[in-house]
Amino acid sequence: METTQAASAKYDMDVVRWFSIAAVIYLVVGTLIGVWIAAELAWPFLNFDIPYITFGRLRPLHTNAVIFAFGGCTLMAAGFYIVQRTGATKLWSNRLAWFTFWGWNLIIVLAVITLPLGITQSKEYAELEWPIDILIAIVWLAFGLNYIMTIAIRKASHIYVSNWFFMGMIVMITYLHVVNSLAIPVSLTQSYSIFSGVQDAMVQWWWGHNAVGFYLTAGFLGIMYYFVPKQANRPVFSYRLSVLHFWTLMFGYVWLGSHHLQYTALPDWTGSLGAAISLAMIIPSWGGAMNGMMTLSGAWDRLRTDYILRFLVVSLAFYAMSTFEGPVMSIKTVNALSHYTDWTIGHVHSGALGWVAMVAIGALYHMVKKLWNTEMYSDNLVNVHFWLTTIGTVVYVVAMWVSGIMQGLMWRDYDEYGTLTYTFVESVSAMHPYYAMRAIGGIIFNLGAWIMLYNVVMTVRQASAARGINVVPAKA
Amino acid sequence: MSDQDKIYSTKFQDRIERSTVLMFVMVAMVVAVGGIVEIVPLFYLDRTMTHLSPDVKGKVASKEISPIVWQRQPGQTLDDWKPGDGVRPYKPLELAGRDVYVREGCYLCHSQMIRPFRDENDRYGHYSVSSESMYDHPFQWGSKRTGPDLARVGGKYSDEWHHRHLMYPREVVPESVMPNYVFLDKGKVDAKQIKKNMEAMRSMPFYPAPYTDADIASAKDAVEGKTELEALIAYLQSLGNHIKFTEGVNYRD
Amino acid sequence: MGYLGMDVAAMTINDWLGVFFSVAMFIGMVYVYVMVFRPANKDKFESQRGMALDDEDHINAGEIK
Repeated sequence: METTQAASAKYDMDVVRWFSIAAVIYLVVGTLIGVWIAAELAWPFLNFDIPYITFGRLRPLHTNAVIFAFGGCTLMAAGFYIVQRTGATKLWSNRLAWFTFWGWNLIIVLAVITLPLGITQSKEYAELEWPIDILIAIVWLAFGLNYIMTIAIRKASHIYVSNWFFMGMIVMITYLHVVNSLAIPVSLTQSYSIFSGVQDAMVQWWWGHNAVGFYLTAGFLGIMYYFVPKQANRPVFSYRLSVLHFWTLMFGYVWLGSHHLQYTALPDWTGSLGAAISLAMIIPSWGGAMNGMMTLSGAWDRLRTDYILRFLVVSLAFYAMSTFEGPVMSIKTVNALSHYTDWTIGHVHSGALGWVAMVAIGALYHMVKKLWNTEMYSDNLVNVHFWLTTIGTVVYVVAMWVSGIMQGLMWRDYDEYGTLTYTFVESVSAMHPYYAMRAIGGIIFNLGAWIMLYNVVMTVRQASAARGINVVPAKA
Repeated sequence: MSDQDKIYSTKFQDRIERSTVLMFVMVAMVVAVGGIVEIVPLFYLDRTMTHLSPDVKGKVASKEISPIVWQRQPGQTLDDWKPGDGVRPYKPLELAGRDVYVREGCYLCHSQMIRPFRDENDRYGHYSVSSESMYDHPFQWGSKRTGPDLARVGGKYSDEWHHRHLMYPREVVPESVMPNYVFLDKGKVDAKQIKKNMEAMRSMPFYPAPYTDADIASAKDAVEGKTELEALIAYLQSLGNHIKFTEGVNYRD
Repeated sequence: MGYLGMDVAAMTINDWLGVFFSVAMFIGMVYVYVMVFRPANKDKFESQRGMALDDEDHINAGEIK
């Protein structure tokens, strides 16, 4: 991997380049699978009676592809980028970073093979079977060790706030993955969780919510705290706010899992505790969102010309919205309506498409420009991508809000004789237009991802041509 | 709080920011609290499980309500169990069907957890209680109802209905968006595997399934030659009729 | 108001533990909040806010110019 010129290099950025390109590819693939399964719910003939592409098998592939393939590669690209630059040092081990790259991609390939075959642990966002789980643990620890050791050998006196968030993510995801994946294997492709029923439900949603809270929030906040100031070329609005944001988020987010289990057979105290802390989390979340937004104060005019900045700012708006919506949905009376409905799906996607994907896309564009030391092939295409992403997200989320609230209301509606007004299947058929609308929103979003891939590929080719050598992967 | 304390507080944050080790230790401690507080008590608080909850236990002992967990008498087989006798572990064919349920990702669209609301009571039946899923490794409560809840689907429809519905859902329910599971009719249950799976369930550290050696020995014959569809139907028919609930009794306390 | 009622006599050790944790957490959060936003602490906290901008813009990853 290491080229002869690497001796004079200040940073190890080749692995970051590869992670960045992989992230863009996985964004296209992951959202494409999402579009497909959204269409399956609107037009069930699309299952084609083929086991491997039925909704039940492709849905885990979709979530794994967007969270762990796209999200993971983005986190690792941005993480290795940030930790080197804020510490003014090379990676602790470039070889370990390459091990992480190939290991992580091997996991993704295994997921693509096993999930359509129905090899699953049935724990949402942790479907992969035990041999892959072990591999995940190894690669994740390699990433974490390398990251933390790179912080340790930094030349700067202080650890920058982004690295705190990354460190929080690394530690918490290790806890979660190990505990939630505890299982007794019965064959190479099957295992049973050692937990059952109510305890298993709590462990699973402790994992489930913190995959969101630490992987998709803390990690991406680390990205936000570096790339927003960088792209705006202004210091963070308030470092104090980030200290508050960090510690309260680290402490509080862990508790939220139980709000996924309101009114179930989980004891009431656990759900109530989750709901109470969820409400308290509005404060740090909004503090963080404000912190990012206000970093732009005095530079708002740049939004007119800087399309990358647009991604970052709109992502913060979605972050603020989702982190308000989440606590509201965790309130027991609201949850009674929203649970089991599409509202939850809408909420997840306002966070996933609006916050995670947008901030990731902004960071990736920023890194592509820096890593290949060039301008984008087309700024206009970045702008087109921005609008497709925004419109696609809004269409998706609105469709799910309407269908979710409608479902919830139809299920609980009584006529004047005291009998249920609607059969279940009437609620299913009432969802059809919204499922179609959701698929269209997804298509719009996915179209933007293709444009990004094209733009990034052309940018890299242009930069390589200009330099007369192939800098893309050091393999050359 | 003295002046010293104030300065110390920022100094502490400053020290954390300067030290990788301190930052790591602080973070590792802070993020551990929530999970420990919420999860660990669920393993030892009696009220978490319906059958261990003091009130319910007392009512069962005084025969005021039906048992929550099946107490198998010596010599009884799983087939001696009758609906209402209390929660029992899955029979071999049901367990194989449960594997199919998991494999096909049914839990992504169907919940198995009825909440204590009037409409859910009218639509699906008595609310679910924790002990009903005590042998479910892993749990199948689900998080989404694209299709209806299945916690009490057992016995609601005939086997023939399920067969037709699973093969071609839209022939039975035109508005359904469920995939056709025609391929389950061709797949055969892996009879060699079932023994191992039951043994794993019996060796669980938490809530192991109380299978007898005889149960496990007869398992292979019970599933031999069965299709995956038959196994899945057997599983669905076993859901939700284990406990006979008495109206007006609070099973949640 | 019954919703907020608290039957002290019937509280188990776990209930008390829960109360202790909730109160301790509340105090902890208030403490962090006060610490961070005390005007006297402002300069110390804000001294690092420009760190992300301090890394020079060119990335020297060893490529040939």
